[in-house]
Amino acid sequence: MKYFQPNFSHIYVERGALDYPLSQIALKKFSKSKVIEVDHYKDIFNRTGQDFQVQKKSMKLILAKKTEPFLYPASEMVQEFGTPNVYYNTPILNCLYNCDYCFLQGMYSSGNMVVFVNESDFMDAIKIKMASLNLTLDPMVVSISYNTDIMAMENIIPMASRWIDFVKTQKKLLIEIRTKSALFSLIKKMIPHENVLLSWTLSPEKIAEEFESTAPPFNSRLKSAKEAVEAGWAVRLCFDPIILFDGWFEIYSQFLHEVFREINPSKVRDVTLGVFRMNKDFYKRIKKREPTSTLFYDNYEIKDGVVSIGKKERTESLEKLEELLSEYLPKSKILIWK
Amino acid sequence: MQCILSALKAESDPLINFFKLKKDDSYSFPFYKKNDLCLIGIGVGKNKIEKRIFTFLNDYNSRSLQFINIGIAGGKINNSEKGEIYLINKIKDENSNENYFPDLIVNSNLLEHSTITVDKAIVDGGGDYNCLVDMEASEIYKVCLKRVLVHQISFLKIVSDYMDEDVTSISKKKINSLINEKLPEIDTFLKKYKNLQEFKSSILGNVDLVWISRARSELNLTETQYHQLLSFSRGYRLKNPNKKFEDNMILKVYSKTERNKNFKNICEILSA
Ligand code: SF4
Repeated sequence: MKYFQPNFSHIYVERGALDYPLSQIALKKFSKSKVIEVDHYKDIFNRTGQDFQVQKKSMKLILAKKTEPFLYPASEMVQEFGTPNVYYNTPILNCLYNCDYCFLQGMYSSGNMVVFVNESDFMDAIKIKMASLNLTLDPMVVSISYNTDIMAMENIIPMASRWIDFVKTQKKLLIEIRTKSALFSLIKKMIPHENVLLSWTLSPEKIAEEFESTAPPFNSRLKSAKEAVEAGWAVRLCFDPIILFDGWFEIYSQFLHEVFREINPSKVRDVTLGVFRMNKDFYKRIKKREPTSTLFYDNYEIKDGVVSIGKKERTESLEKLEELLSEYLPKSKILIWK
Repeated sequence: MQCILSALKAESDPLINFFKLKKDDSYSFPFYKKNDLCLIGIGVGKNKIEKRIFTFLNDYNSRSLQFINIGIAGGKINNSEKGEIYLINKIKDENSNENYFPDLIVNSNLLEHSTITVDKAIVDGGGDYNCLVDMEASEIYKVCLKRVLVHQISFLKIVSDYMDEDVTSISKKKINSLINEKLPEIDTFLKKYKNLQEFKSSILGNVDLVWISRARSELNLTETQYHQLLSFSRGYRLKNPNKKFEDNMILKVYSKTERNKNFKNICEILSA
């Protein structure tokens, strides 16, 4: 890696974003980085002719101020599981990690990361939305780690903890922080809050090594999730995407056994299951760039704009896993993207 | 292939000598080459850049091509040093006010600066200019970007003056010496930059492509089938780095039905 600049060797800052506290935290953290002023984050993030994967070799940080919209209705790809009032927001664009199956490489032309530093605008938008919704039965759910892994950035820009503090001031708001990080230690001192759902994506070691090589290894993630469960946080375990290959069921059986040997299943809020799937346009865009992950050369089916494993194989595999999981948890706690 | 773009003969000469490039007279403009490195003389200012680069690209178009603009630029006494070489991280076109941002992936250890591309040389000390001043960078960026990706274009500028000399009046000897002084840095940069090329190497090797092309013509594949075959072949190559594409997979076929059957069979073998 010596041929490449370290990640965040350069920080591009929108003129209007410089004075925000989050910008100052980032600039202090990377005091040796070269700071380059930009008029608008899109001047750098949306440039034509970028190569996502090359840029991932040396990611740059872009500090910017987001304008509306600050909140989006959840896409079909997010597991809503019948819950109403589900939204997501984008405090960060792109991820510190680079999983082979990640849709971000098809969504963004850039491998660099944008951090929107006007966090209070995001929070105000949620308050406004909450005021317009009927939240007597169900809370408003916001996924704040949808286009990123916000927790993975916590030791760089502590946004997750600031969001947790915000949730504590709102009665009818639940946030989901989905992560593959091993950084629970950074929020360990906070008092757990029932309206903060920490979701860890866990995969068997073989899968993590092959397709999630830039994320922390399985054991570190498991350790973090276990600590969170034991500290009393609401924890969701995401077994998603399930990757099917020769011998997958044995590997996943052993993996689930390992997971629930460490984590008491009765203390887990729920688990999610889903196979590899991706918006067809993102998939096509990635495929055009000749990706080097074998994942993109398997046989898939396109249905309703989503690329995934054929329905029959998908359902059969997920049902098998559901059965296996039901040895540990009641079926009502197993949420499946079918 | 790496392609150096330089404006003045006085900038090119030290580079040609150092890298032992040979003139190729088949071009109507200065063009020098040795193995994987070449140099195009693009002239001063923006005018001839597009034509010369595109003429070159007609003959040398490869996925891993890199363009490196090397030349002198004006600096300011308070923010740059005469004789110093800078890697450019931002280019502003004075005319259009557009900003361009080269990718900075390679760990070059060079100092960095931004540059503003002007149409007329600045000789009055530079007034409000806070960056370097040059006459080609924005046009080079725009032109090259039509054919290659951002990370395949880099800019190295050596400060020749403090915006008090017209580029055409700076002595050849002075320019030669400015470039000569920085040849080791330029050489190191080019070597490091070359490492980025491996990310554009194709999954399929030449032998694989020959097999695919044989399958395409002998089976008379449709365009869609051909693209499917390419995709399956890439997957096969990734999963089986050392396996051959067997010749006997391609059968002699006499009808579309037979063709389709053989094609399906090939796809099954490749995706197994
Ligand atoms: S952790 Fe999630 S968001 Fe990050 S690269 Fe992996 S799949 Fe994408």
